[in-house]
Amino acid sequence: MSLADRGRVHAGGIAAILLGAGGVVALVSVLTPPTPHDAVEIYSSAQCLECHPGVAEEWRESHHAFAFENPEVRKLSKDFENQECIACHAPRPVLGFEPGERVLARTSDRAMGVDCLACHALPDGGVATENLNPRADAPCRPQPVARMASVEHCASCHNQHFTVDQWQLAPEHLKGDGCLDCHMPAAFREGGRRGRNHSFRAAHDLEALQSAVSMRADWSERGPWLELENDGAAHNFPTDERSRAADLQVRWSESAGEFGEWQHLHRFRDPYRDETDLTNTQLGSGETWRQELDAPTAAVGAEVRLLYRTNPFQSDSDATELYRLAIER
Amino acid sequence: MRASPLVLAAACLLACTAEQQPIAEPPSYQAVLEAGLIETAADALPEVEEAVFENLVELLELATLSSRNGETAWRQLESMDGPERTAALLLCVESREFPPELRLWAYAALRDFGSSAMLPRLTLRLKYEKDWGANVPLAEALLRHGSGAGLAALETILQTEDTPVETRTAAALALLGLPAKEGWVPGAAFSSDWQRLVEVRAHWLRYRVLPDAPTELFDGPMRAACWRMLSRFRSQPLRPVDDARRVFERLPAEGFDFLIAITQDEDLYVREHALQTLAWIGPPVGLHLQSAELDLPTLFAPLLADAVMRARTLEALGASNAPGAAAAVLPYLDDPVYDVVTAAADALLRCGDASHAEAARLRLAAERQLSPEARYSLGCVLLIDSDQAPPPVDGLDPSEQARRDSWLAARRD
Repeated sequence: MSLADRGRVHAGGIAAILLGAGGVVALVSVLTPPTPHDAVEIYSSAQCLECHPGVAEEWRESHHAFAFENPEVRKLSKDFENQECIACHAPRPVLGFEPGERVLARTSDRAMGVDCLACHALPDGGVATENLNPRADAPCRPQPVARMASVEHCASCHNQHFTVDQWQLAPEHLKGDGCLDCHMPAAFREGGRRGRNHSFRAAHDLEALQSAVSMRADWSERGPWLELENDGAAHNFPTDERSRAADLQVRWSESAGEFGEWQHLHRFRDPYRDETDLTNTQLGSGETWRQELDAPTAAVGAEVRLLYRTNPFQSDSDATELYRLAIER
Repeated sequence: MRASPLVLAAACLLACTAEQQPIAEPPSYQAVLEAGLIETAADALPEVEEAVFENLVELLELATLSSRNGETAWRQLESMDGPERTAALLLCVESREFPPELRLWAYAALRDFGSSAMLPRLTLRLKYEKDWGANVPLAEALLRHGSGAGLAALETILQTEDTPVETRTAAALALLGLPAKEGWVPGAAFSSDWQRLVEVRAHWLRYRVLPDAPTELFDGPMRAACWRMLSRFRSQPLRPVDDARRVFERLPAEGFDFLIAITQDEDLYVREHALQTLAWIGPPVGLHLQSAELDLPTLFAPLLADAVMRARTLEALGASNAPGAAAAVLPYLDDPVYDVVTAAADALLRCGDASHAEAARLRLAAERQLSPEARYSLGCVLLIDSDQAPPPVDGLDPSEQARRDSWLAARRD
């Protein structure tokens, strides 16, 4: 064996040793339990946000974080003159109440809206998680609580406007495992940790809204028609009494590319208690609404669209357009 | 003679406190609401049979005719069985489908013939009745039974130029039914009638009692109606609770006794809603109890011993501004529970004075965390004796700051 060869073997040996050592260090670091943290008393959600930056980022963008300050909520509750509304917009920990029973308002940190402790705090001061194998040494000492993943957990607030009752009546194939399937899907975080997305995608998320319903339209021999099917939401569309509304509109064309004004076709909404002349027109889970359209004689085509309003008085320009379809005679 | 709800509650609560100082155990909650419902069952308004209802509607239709038939129908209404008539008329005014022109007559019939049992449900109509014309007999009916809750509607009608002239005229005539006062000649001049309205309303808002009203206004049917309205506090859906709280905020002060009594109820929600309603009513509760020579801090001491009820009890205690409330609140500034400390700080701002500034200063300087709300409230307590604006606090919602600013302004007054 030449010197050069010996040198190469030597270098290879050193590299192997270094790699091996690195592997051992990596293995040890994986297998050795991390240094236990001292348990801390959790009194405010601000503490949670410090240790969970990924979740914090999602939650800050969510309407849970915005629940107390949301101008639309302020308007509909007469700036919380209807103090009843505060119970769900700045709630005490839900786990302090029986499953599914209504929650009551807290006094502190109201600006944080539906904060971490609202869903995670246990009555004894501990912290609950849906995770069955939580890190036992985390400062908040999380404890697995099955109720965290149940519909009853969300019902305390979300059934005030009957959404969970609607879920109970939904077709089995749409129900999934409950609210979390759609509104808190799985999320993977730094370090390969698995959790749930805390941005609570719903009425303010175009993709979530579009996943709730399908719109179809065509111009057959019998004339133009339009269908809306609730084939994605395991509750009515739109859910939530009074606050939400969805409208179908049409505009006709008498020559290619030129359209008249948008005309109202149908509103999906559960009216408020004072609106005595209106009935509930929400589209039930799994149901289809269909209408044959009455086309003007000169019409050669039309556009139909579905607008979603976060309050029934919202203008067309502020509403979210979920779908627009063009049809031709 | 039946004991009033307040006497029962006081006896129950004071029995807990007399032997145990300091109080270590929360009270043993009881079926107070259920007992009230059972005790007053015989005085409750009856179920209305369909035939009776139809007959009453027919009489109302006839009464609208400006002829002898109309007068006869009105007299026939007058001769109907009292409780049944009141119950049927209430169904008329509460029905969404009932024709508005007949509803106006139904309110007038309640005004002229309605029994005291109508008061809670009629008070709720102030929330739902959108017809200004109907609001006039509604306010008059309330006034005749010792409630000033409809006076705001009369004031608004008289101040709103686009209300129909006949409605404004009716509202002006309704002022003649205001409680008498030496030197005031009803109907002599609108300006003096208006002045009387302003005085009576101010008295009502301060005490929830009309001037010179009898001390015991509530009879058996009225008490039965109050218990029935309170049973809405058991509801899980929000609306019935919301409605009942709104009613009790607007009932004459004797209604507070029912709320205090059910702070002892076995149902957590009933207790919570009762305390919160007392907190919303605020200072009139303290004044009412003073006139009854009852000490709210002593009454509430057992509730403060219950960790679950503590924050809400502090809120009600502070809002009442009852004598001794501030002293009762002070120890809870050091409570181990974050939300209780906030409630204590808020309560101190609502019932404390400049002599509590040192306690506030010490708590602000302590190491234990305070919520933005508590920090701001204690900052306000430091400034009760000054005209300085409190320093802003990070993380405090502007509306929450505004609420505390209004409490500070009230203390400075």
